[in-house]
Amino acid sequence: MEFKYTEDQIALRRAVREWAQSYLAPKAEEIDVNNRFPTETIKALGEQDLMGLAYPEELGGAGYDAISEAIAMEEISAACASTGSIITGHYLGFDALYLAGTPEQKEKWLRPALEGEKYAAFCLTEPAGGSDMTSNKTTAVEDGDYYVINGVKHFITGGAHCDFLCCFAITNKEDPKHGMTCFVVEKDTPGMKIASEDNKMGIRGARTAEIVFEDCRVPKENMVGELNGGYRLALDVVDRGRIGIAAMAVGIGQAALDLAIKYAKEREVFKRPISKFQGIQWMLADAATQLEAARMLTYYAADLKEQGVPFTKQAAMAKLFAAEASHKVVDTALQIHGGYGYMKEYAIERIYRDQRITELFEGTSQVQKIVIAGQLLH
Amino acid sequence: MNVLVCIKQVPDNSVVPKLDPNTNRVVTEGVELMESPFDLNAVEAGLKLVEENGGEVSVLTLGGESAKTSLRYGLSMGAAKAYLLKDPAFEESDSWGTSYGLAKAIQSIGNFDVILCGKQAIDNDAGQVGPGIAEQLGISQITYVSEIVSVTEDTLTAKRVSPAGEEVVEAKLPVVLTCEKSLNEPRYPTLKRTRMANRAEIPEMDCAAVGADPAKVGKNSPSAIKKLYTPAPRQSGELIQGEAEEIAKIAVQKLVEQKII
Amino acid sequence: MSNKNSVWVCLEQTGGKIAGVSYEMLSGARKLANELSGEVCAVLMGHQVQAQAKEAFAYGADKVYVCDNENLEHYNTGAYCKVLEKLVKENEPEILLLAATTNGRDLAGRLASRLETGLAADCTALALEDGQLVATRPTYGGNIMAEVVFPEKRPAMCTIRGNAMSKDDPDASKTGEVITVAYDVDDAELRTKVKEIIAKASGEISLADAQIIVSGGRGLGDPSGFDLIRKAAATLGAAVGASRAAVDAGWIPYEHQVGQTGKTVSPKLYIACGISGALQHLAGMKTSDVIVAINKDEEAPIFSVANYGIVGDLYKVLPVMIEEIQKVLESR
Repeated sequence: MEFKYTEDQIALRRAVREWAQSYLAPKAEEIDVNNRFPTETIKALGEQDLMGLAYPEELGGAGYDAISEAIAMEEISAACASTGSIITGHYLGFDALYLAGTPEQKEKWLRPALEGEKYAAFCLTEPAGGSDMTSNKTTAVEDGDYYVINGVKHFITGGAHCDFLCCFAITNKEDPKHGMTCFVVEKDTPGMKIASEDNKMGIRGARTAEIVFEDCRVPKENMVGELNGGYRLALDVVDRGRIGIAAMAVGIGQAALDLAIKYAKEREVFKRPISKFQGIQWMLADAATQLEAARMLTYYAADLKEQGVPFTKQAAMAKLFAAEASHKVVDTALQIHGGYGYMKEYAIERIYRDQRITELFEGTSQVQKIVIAGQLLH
Repeated sequence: MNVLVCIKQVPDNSVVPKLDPNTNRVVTEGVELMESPFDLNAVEAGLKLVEENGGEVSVLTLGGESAKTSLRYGLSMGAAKAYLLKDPAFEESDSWGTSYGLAKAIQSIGNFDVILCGKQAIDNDAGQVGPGIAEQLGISQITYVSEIVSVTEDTLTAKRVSPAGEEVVEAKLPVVLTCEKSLNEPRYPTLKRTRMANRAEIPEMDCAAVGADPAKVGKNSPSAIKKLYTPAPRQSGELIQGEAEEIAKIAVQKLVEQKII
Repeated sequence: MSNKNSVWVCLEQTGGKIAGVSYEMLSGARKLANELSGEVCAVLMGHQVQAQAKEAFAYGADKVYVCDNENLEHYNTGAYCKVLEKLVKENEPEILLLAATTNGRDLAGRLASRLETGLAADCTALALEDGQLVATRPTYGGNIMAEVVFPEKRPAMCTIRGNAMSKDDPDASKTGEVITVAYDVDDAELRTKVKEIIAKASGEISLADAQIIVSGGRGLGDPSGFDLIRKAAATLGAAVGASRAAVDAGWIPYEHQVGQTGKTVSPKLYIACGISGALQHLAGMKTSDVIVAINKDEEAPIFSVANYGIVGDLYKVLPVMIEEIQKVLESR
């Protein structure tokens, strides 16, 4: 076992941090206040090669390893959690194409997605379904050279702003587990309609949408992977995506901890900085320890993914632990800010709200426990 | 158009530098390093020049092994080649020794139309290496450049900061330019280039390789630092608190009493 | 008297007017020359500057070498360097001082390289130890001071920061020798040509020349805050400065930036308004004689260097100060 960053990882952390702090951080408050999806950021992410960071260069990616991807996600989310979620949505959105797409499909959709030309969205969740995909209602029915999609998807990150989405629909109602299929649906396909966008508590820049499919016809060549192979494919995509959410949680926690340390050094009561009080010191020490453990677990899961060995359990553990550690850290950080932390003027207020999503999406903490237990008991 | 940019690696300027009382040197251990900010304006200017006029950018630094990080940063911004001038003989060189060594290195690397430096390095704050290189190479110089106005086959015209304001100067090529921060906004390295930069071969050159006389540099430089010390911290004065109107009047009164106004 | 042990000062002139730092250098040179039992020689290069040459005597020059030529009207690296090089080679001064302006540093760097001699840039103090020059100069943004010595090569060259060394009271009764120097630089040797001079907007005082600077920072809240800063500056005859945060926000051009990546200033009075006092900013202004800071935040680091720290809303405090200052000035 080797705990040592590679040269790539060191240089990448610096490059992403400098860019994210200069480009993303100044926007974070504005997109939160205005509930605005930062379209311009998508282009900038592409220019920095962040839209396909850990995918092979021959496909249009930047060729980094999975730990690098986690590091980048940390740095981006530390600067702006909404952007962390926007990228996560993109990775999830095209990952099915990477795992199961044909060479033609990869050329048509994956390459431009990795190169930052196209923004992708992951279209799985339904009002009735949530983590239980077998309850999904959206269907795709064969009709000549087309499949006709009908149904409602919701909480779709970037749904109203993407160039294409990977939509999972039931193709065999009798057995949804073995009767779900993935289709690429391009923006402006007749029959696909953005019903509304959500008004969320946090990561407000990463706008999510409700999408209605009404007799939406997609060509057969848009089918990704095998007919009725979508359930397994969706699980694989989500598995891989969990490490990104874990890293996002670590990044949010780090941003909160950094603010708390800065504030504790500056804020004086009884004629000395509050950082001199042991009560505060212990809070910071606990927070930093939680965060470091979360980071290590995240990198470990990423390393397994990189090695190509099973990582489902560790990814779920990392996601569960990092999200909950991050919760404790932002809570501590806000507490250290005292009453000021409750004010909109202080970034910790937004970070506190942004953090909460990491315990909810890509499987709630409870779902992670189901996954972990499933791995233990199978 | 071939461009060479000199970069210097310096200690992170967000931390107050400390002196080691035993060696009377600035403590570098455990201190983050960065590229002197004006040097990144120089890299950006070089990249823009070749984007508009063709050719490529090379980056050069004088330093130890760690300075390769700065060269890689230059590569990740878009430079095509990087060179490290590394020889223990250069330790403790003054501005003359440094510009002499860099000029020799530049001559041994090849021919360049434009050589760019930052207006000064933020550790030494001297700004003498740019003109020094120009003189050693016997070529023109425009210092404190705030805008590159135009480039022709054999001239470059730039706006520079002068004591009276600004002036537009035309120089015959080749030319050394030293760059102001206002010249441009340095680009951020992209991640594909960062990865390429980490894999790039960086040739190391010593005095012998570039034909520099080690007896002229380092401790044998024309000037030497006798002593470094930390200036006594400025004492804080008095705080004036109270109603705005009242404290404003008190402040002016004090300035008048002390004959400052 | 021979030129041995002489201390030379290259006078800085712009538009035919000798800059204040030149007199500070002459005053400093005089002290060194007295200790060395040498003379002070000034060099004045320019066009139609003969009349100004005599001003140097009042500040301690024994001789003034004047090279007056239309090609020297504006600073030109090649021409100025050639003239000065020849004078130095003929007269072999012990010490040569130039102003640490953009032109002085341009010339000094070039000349020192040509003469293969040592150059200490931006010096703030000069002294002699056992007859050898010790030049003190700030490095690391003024966080570390360096004492520079010149073991063998001569002249020992220094550029001198403005407002760093004191200027003696002029003695108009003093006279000296004006030596005319021929201009013999072949145009073909010159590699650069000044095409255009862009003077500062009239009435605007540059940071480098200012005795008083009023600076604004992020605490102004928005760019229009600089209207108030400009008003205060106009009242005091001061230059307008800014923190990096204000410049980065696009509220005011870079040329106003004070700090490590902007300009280093050392005026008689520096008034910082809504500037918290980041390390990089302090590096650029903490050698000011008197610092006044106006800031809402009592814990702002700027107060640690301020002689007078005014804790309050600058929009309430500064207008009253402007009024009060106007009253004082009018009563004089």
